[in-house]
Amino acid sequence: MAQRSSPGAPALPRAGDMQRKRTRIAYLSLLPVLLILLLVKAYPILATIYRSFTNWDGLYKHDFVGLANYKEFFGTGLFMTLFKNNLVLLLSVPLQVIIGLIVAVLLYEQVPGWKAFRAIYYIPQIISLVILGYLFRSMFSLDGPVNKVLEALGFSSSVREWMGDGSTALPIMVGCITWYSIGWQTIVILGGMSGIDPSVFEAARLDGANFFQRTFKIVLPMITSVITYCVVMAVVWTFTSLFSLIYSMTGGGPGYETMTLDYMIYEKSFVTGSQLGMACTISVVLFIIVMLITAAEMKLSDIAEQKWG
Amino acid sequence: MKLQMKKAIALLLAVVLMLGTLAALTGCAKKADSNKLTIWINGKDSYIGPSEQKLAQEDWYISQAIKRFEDANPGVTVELVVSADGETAHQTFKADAMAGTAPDLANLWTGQNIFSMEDVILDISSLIPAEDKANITGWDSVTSPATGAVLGYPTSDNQICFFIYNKQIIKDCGLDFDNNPPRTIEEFNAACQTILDKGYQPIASDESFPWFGCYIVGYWWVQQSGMDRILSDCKGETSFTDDPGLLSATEYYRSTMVNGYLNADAVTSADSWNKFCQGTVAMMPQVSSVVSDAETALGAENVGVMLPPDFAGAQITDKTIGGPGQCLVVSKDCKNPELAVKFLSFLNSKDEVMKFLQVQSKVPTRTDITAADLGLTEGSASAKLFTWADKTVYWVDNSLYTNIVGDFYNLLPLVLAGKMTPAEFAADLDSKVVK
Repeated sequence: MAQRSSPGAPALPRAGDMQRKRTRIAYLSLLPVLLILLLVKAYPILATIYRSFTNWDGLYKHDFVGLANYKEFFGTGLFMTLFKNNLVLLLSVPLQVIIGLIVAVLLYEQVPGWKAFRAIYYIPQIISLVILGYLFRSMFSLDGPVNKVLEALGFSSSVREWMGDGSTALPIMVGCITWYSIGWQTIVILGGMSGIDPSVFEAARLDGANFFQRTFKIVLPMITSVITYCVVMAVVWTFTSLFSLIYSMTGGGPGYETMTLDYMIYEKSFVTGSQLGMACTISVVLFIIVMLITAAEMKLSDIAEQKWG
Repeated sequence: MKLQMKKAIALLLAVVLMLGTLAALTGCAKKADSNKLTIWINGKDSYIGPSEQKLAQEDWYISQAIKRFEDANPGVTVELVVSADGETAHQTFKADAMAGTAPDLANLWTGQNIFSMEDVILDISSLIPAEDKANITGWDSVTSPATGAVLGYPTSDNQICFFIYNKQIIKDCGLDFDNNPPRTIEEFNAACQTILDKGYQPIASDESFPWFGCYIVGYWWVQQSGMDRILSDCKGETSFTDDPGLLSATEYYRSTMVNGYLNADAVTSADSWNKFCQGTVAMMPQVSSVVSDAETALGAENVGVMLPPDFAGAQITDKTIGGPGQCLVVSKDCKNPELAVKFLSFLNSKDEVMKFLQVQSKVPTRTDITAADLGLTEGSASAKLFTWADKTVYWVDNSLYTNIVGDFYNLLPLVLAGKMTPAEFAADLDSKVVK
């Protein structure tokens, strides 16, 4: 009910005016953050897209070259080599999510030894990726412990230079990434599971559901949105944040056999004579790929939630 | 009243924020003090040596040299800024140069690394004293082949490539590299085979980045083809595919692994230097800056150096790859280029170079300093390097064009591993030529 003002008292603003004022204040409050975001996010993205059509060398040379960079990148087969490596490394995503889920349920159900395990499972996550990379590189070197163990077990014919070939180095990287990421996945999934009523578990147990039935038929459908978040973040991370691991493990080599799209951005920018125009082109391609994959994942997640959620 | 106060506070905060932002933005602009120089020096493998990194900054050679210069030029100040490393220094220098805030002087790499930055580096050819031009070598490493502009002073660090060897192992194999080093490829193969038969690893190198390729294979290429031919290949006037020097040099590179002369894990290993210093490897392709470390590890009497063997019929013989890999440049933002060059000339004076060499064992670019001046033992590896100062051909990889050098670095290990033939490698380099 509108308040009636008494004569002589200051006029109270009407509800519509109040709403407009609140809206204006809300926008004004957001304005500084929006401006900062535009400055630090939108401008670099737009500048990168523009420079991807130039032969920018990091200095003043930035002639417009049209689609030449894109033609070179896609035409020489370099894109397919790098993208294929990225796709192989993506195999770590289902592994880390599934193992993370299993570990989370084990911790949730407080299996014997869960307290000790709770202190251990996150350790890989706090080790620098550079150190992990060197660790794996040493383990799988020709004189490393893995080959020594194989020799000792009589598998001398299997001894090889694991990091000297993409077909063996990439699966090792997948293993390393999975091992590193399980802790993060477990924490996020455990957080999601805190919203599940414990009586659901109790009822399932009483109904005779085994561990895997409880994990995949009860927990999984109830935390679809959390799993989506885990998958999306892991995919984005795998595409954009593996530089330090690859740098320390193989340097992208031999040749381009373990090099990924994000690593090539560094190569073009800093190693091979400031081809920053091309680096921008690869950045744009990577940006589009990540956006498309993320959109597809979210769409699939929606469908899954509608069907089973 | 309360509302008014809130408004006043909000306004004040907004003004402070705006002024702060403006101050931050304008604060980047340099003060035009013509008696002040700012110099960037790379934090490692530069004027700051490995042993100095343990010391306080004021005890570093470069800090003390700056102080001596300031004392000799009252009113002048030189501010030292330490860059993380050489790679990032180039990119940071470019970014600052574009913003108009580049330092007066910067420590960069020579060759194509600075030739591609001519827009922001000052041509100091008219400011260099004649005495420096006459007594310092390595000017070609800082002189743009396109314009003839001199883009800096080469640092007094003539990095010479060679095979460093363990004298004990060589002696144990019945060889005498000190007096009778292998000078032809055939003699070199025979020596490697003898070492291998004796149970030692003849050569070790970490080739995930092709150091052997840059230090020695590059020499085998340039000695057969000549630098003009290599540059002509880069321009597309001739082709890498038809360059016999490149093909035979890379074929021989591959053969070192096939024959077991080079460590089998060269493409991925990272510990070859450790193995050499532990005395388990006979030879290693190396550069002058590591000799003192090897002498410390194995004893000076057990460390020898030799030039790479020559291919039969090569147009360049009895030489090796080398030259100053680093330089000090004056930026176009420098307010007092005369003072900047005066400082560079001071750093390269005989007195200063002698002081520098007492801290780091390097082969100087000054021709008027001898091994005897530094008290080096005759016949030692360090003394031998002095005699090779005029035996260098400029770095091949630093001479390759930017569009080509990436594949040179990345694909050469594939040739070594046998995953790519020399012809395929050459064809790939041709595909990167921009005509």
